[in-house]
Amino acid sequence: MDPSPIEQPEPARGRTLWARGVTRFFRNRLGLTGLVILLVFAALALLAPVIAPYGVAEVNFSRLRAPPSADHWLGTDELGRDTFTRVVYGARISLTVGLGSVFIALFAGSLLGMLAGFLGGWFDEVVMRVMDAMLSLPFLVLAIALAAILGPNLQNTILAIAIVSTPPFARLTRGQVLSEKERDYVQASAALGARWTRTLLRHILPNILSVIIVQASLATAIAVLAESALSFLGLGVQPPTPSWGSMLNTSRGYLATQPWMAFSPGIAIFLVVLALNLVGDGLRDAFDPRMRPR
Amino acid sequence: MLRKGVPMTRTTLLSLAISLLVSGAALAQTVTIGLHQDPPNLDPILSQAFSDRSVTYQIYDRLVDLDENLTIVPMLATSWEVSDDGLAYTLQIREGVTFHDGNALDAEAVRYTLDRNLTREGSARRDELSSIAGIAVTGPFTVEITLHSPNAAFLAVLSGNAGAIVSPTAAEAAGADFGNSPVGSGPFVFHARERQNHVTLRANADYWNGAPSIQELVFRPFPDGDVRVANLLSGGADIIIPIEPKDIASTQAAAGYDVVAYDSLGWRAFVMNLTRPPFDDPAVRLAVAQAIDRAALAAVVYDDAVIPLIGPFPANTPGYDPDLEAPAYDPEAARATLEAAGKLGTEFTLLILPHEVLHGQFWQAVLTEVGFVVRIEQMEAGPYLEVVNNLRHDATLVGWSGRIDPDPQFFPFVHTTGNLNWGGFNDERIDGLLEAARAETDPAAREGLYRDVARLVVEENMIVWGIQNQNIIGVSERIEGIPLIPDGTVRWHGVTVR
Repeated sequence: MDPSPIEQPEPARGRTLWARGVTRFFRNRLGLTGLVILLVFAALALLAPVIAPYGVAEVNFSRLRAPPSADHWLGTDELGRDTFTRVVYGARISLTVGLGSVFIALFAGSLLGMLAGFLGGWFDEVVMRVMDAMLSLPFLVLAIALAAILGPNLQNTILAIAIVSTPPFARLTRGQVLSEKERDYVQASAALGARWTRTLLRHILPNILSVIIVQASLATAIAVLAESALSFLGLGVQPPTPSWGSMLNTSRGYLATQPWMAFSPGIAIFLVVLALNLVGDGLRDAFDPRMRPR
Repeated sequence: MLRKGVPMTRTTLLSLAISLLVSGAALAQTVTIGLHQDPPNLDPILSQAFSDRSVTYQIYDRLVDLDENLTIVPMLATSWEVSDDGLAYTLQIREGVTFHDGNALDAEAVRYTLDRNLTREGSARRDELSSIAGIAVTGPFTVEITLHSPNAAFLAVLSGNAGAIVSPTAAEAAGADFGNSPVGSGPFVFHARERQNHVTLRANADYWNGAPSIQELVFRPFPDGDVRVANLLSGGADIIIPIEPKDIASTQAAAGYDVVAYDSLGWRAFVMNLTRPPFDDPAVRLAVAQAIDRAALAAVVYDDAVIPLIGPFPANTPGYDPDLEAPAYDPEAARATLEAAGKLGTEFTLLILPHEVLHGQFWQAVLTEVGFVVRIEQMEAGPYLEVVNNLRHDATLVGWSGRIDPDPQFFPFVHTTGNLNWGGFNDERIDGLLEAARAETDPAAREGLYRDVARLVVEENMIVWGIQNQNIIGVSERIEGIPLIPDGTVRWHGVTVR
């Protein structure tokens, strides 16, 4: 994300601005496609027990690594479990981790960034230097280290990814607050005697929210990929809980002989990450006309 | 191809020269061996890993060796005599053998080595040789070893790293660092090593049993099975030890490669912590034993490249009992057993090493089927050993490379003082039988005692065995004459390359 200050047009017309942004988003075909793909996966995840034709850990030793067929639409895995079922249940893990970690990161990062930008001084220095230090380490390396330290399970995966996703939110929000802080409407609010918390939450926050939301959608794409990477390395959810990353890892050994085992989780990851990026780009175009390609 | 009447061009000559150079390199006969790990330590007294032996058996001669039928055959000891009471072993040491550093190998070097095994700080050989009471040099090439008590396993122990004779001069000079500059008298001489990359050995032209035909051995670690087989098929390795069962078919189908599988001495088993719930309850253990479908285990996890096994002694080892019986596979009976004991829904954590994920999930699936709730926890070897040594686990999957003698094969796992007692065994009946077997000099009576222990452990389902391992190697067809010795370590001396 470009942390440079982005000027906000006419802050007083908040509601119409939102309405116009939403309308613009729905006119964006790519963004809409992304949203539809996401909704499909969300539906799969929510309705997994209804949709899945087999039990998630139901093994069948007489049908190991079977190719796609009428009985098993996406084939079976190394224990004869239905791949379609596991891809559907895997969506739960991917989306839970993606959304959960970004929600935490968004909350923590935005709060820290807003306070740092608004208050300035030593608080700003301390918070931002910590964030810089975290950003200086590669995203995935830090996530792997945290997951390894915390121990492999769902909560810790979410926590690890949330922690490494926090700094970009803090930096972005701080930059936004710094530029908004000097504007007339903020000055006016202060001059009228509003408390600083009110100025921050009622006046500044609504004006920087769209930028945060765009960042959130893109961060979710990265978080989904990170979850797959951690699970691939055995640091995510533990067997027999299916995760697309761990499914990729087990099918890796059969790439030459049973390639379909790797296709399904691979395509699922690809689609969800693509959809999140499309939605993110669509939101950016909708809410920040200046960034729209002409 | 040269066309008729066209004179040899410079390019043709050049390519001819290159091909001559290349074939020259092929004549030098380097064999690259892909191992599943970087051998941790090449000092025989510190070595604890199976992968070490792939290298140490080439560098060091041992006092005796095994043949393909597991018979003990002469190596550095040309002959041996055992006193009637089984307490004194007189070994005749081969004359005219020199170490790689030029010093002569004699009875004194043997005494030095055995003494080093017993006394050096951190020696992993001390337990194996604990029955030794004294070592005396009775002639320039004669050594007499006396034991505290008869030990029928003694010679078998000398066929392993405990019998690997090191150069006293080199060992003294290197001290604790001997593993990085090992000197023995074996068919190959240590040349170079780079951690996590390679160990390179060169042929010993002066070897007492004739110089090996292979000029250079390069051992390279490929921990990932997929990477290992990819290196074999792309020429990065000439042989890989082991090859994963799932890669057998595709490797056999590849032109120029073969897979060799032969019986191992080792096994894989479900080891339960008997000191705490839920597996302190015999009914719960019985349910585990009834739930396991060994044929399916062999098929699903090992692509049928292994053999089902119900006890500690595979059919090719002494102690094997054809009449041993374990509960038959019967998932309904297993569920009924749990139900009758009021233990349906028993929860436990199955601790596994990372490479056992599929194996672990198999057990998880079959035990879930009969009413257990199984959580899998993966742990790297370091913390894993910490947990199982302190009995902080519920159950774990154990893989054992195996030993030819029933004592080292079984004692460590089920005797109260065993160093691999991960079930928390503390059973007077078992200890008594094992100790009686150690003192028994009559081979048949001794074997009977081990059968009794095995029957006791299997009857009460204290350990549930799954399969007998196989040594499975993927190898280029260029390599010929690999002796198939069940301990799984290739002796490279007599192997040739086409």
